[in-house]
Amino acid sequence: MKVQLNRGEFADAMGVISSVVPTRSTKPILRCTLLHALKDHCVLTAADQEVGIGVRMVLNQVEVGEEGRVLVAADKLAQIVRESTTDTLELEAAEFGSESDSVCHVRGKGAHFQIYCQDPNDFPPVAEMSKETSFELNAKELKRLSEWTVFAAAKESTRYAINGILWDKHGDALVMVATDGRRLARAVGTVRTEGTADIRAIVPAKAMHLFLRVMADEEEPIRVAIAETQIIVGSARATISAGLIEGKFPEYQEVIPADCDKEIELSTLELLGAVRQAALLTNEDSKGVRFALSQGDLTLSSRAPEQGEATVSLPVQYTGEPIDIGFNPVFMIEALRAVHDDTVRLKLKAPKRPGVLTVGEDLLHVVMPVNLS
Amino acid sequence: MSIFEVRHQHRAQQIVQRALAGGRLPHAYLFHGPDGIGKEMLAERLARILLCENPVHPPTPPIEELAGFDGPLLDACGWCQDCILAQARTHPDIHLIYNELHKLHPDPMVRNRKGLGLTVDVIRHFVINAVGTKPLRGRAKVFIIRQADRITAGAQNALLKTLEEPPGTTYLILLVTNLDRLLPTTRSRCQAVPFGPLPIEFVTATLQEVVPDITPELAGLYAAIAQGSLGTAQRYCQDSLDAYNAKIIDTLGRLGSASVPPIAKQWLKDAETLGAQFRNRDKGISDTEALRRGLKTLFCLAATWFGDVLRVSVGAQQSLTNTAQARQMTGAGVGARQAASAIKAVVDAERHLERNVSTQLVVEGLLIRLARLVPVAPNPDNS
Repeated sequence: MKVQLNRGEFADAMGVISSVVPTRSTKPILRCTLLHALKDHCVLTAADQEVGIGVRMVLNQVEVGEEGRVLVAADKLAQIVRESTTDTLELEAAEFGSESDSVCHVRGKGAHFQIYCQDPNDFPPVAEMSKETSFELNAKELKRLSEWTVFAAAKESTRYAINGILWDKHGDALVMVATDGRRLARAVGTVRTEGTADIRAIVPAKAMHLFLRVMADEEEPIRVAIAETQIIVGSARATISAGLIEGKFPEYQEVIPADCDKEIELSTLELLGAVRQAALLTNEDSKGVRFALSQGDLTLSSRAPEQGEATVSLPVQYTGEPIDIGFNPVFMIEALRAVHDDTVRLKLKAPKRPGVLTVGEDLLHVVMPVNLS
Repeated sequence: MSIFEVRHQHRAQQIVQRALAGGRLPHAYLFHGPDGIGKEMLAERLARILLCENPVHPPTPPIEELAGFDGPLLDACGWCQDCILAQARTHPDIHLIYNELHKLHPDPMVRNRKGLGLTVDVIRHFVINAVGTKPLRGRAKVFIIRQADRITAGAQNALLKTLEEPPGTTYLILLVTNLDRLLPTTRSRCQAVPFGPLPIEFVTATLQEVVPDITPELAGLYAAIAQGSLGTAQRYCQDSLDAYNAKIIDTLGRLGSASVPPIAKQWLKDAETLGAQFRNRDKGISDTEALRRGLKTLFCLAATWFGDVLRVSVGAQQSLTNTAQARQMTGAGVGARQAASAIKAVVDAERHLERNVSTQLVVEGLLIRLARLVPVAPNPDNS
């Protein structure tokens, strides 16, 4: 194998690769990256036990002299690329096993590195984008849906299903749902599909974070293929695959209350500020912030034993019955941080019934109340 | 590559092949028996069959253990990508869980802890959470837990639900030397498969095959001390254990008349040297664990020696390791009763080691107990 690579682009690609390569792994080979040089492009792949990624480098970024594969330690390669000062780097390696010591030569201006290689056949293959995609959506849409749900997923729950985010695709609607049992986030988006069947799959949060980091380009179309055991998401530059999560996701529709009769509109930033202020005087024992809604006024109050109390008032347009309800401020803050709109709507029913935060028509966040007494 | 390379485990091979043939493989297996006799090998080969793309059916039983087996036999093909990855030990759906895994845990608090057993953090992260995702290559996920008897009680409780009902096509294989150390609740959720010691002749022959330049006598000695464990015998070869064996027999012979502390010191020093060899083989183990394994090896030599004395004193001629010296000992008045008590003392000491008692305390305690049993040895010059 022999390739010339544009150093800047190579450094970018290695940055993405490094975010997947595990720092510690039960399988040392996973600390390597596989560079596959094909006729007119190059693919760098990396995997950990949950996700895999392939990053393509195409014409103008790479010039392939001789096709082939090489498996080298990802951290060393990334460091070499970072420290190099030339515009192009040359990588050259003989086929693994053809010489007694298999090394990959990396040459820059005046510099020559030899990194020891491992057998590429031992590296678990990373899934490539399949020809049959399930649907397509814009990067912006993927980002919007992911951002609104990913924070609400449970962490290390023994109910495996809720450790991930449900992708529920029916028709041309894609609904993403995440819950940890005390709150639930739901986002509805649209996708382009060619009449493919409806799909329900649970995607690990780790993969979602990776989509957010790698698939940033606003209007770029993203292709999604969901199979029995894995999801593959591909843009022009990168392909990410991840194993799906086992189990049955809770029936989320039943959790979303439909009978909220007390509704107010609030400025996102004002509400976020108010909740953060009120949250200052809560502690382990008193996790709740009291939301007291009365005519024309929403007052947030909290009390931490032996520390003090906080009261924050917001003027609101409200003429209904007054209500007192407690919420865990962390759930409110996490949801409000993911809001890009100027206003949100808060819908309530009764002190012991869940509250709902909505943004536009599509984004919704159900929070269970906490007991204030 | 083949599952049939695991030899002389009639019951285990039969149980596994029957389950495969009937398509009714239990989700949790408990392979139990001494170390170094093929438990992990069989588990690993079984994993290959479960992951192989085109498992093959050998037409006739390839080994005598399965002669007369009536169902179709199953084995991995050895050529598909899954088999290649499994052989390279990089298959993403085979998860090997072992005692030093805490060093790879994402939480630095867990990483820096001294590895004393498979704790709940390790089991949660590497087993319980990992079980939740679907297999990466599609067919199945296999977890092989080495030294599962070192899973702490808390971690076993955390694992119960997973053992009982692992999601999808997940298989867990627990490897243990001592069934009794597992909670009854864990045992009852797994199908137990017994493994027995290998025939001494098989161990001797295999040693001669795999270790270059070993004399038949030495191979026989190691095979006998290892008590039917090929893995242990191979390790003994690497450690040149015959020198230690001579030393142990010598010190035990002198125990009646010598003072205990210098002998204890010598044993601990030897154990440390042996422990260093353990560490060379397995970089992951801690200093304490290395010393403990070294001591266990010495204890094993001592137990074998007293076993010989016991056999000689009751007139048994079979499977003797150190015949001449044992005769001398019985001649000096050590009877069956004393030898049996001595063996019990060694076993107790080993148990104390497992429970993290101070190594010095264990060795001195053992030697004091033995000194009471062994009479003053005759002066070597007179004999």
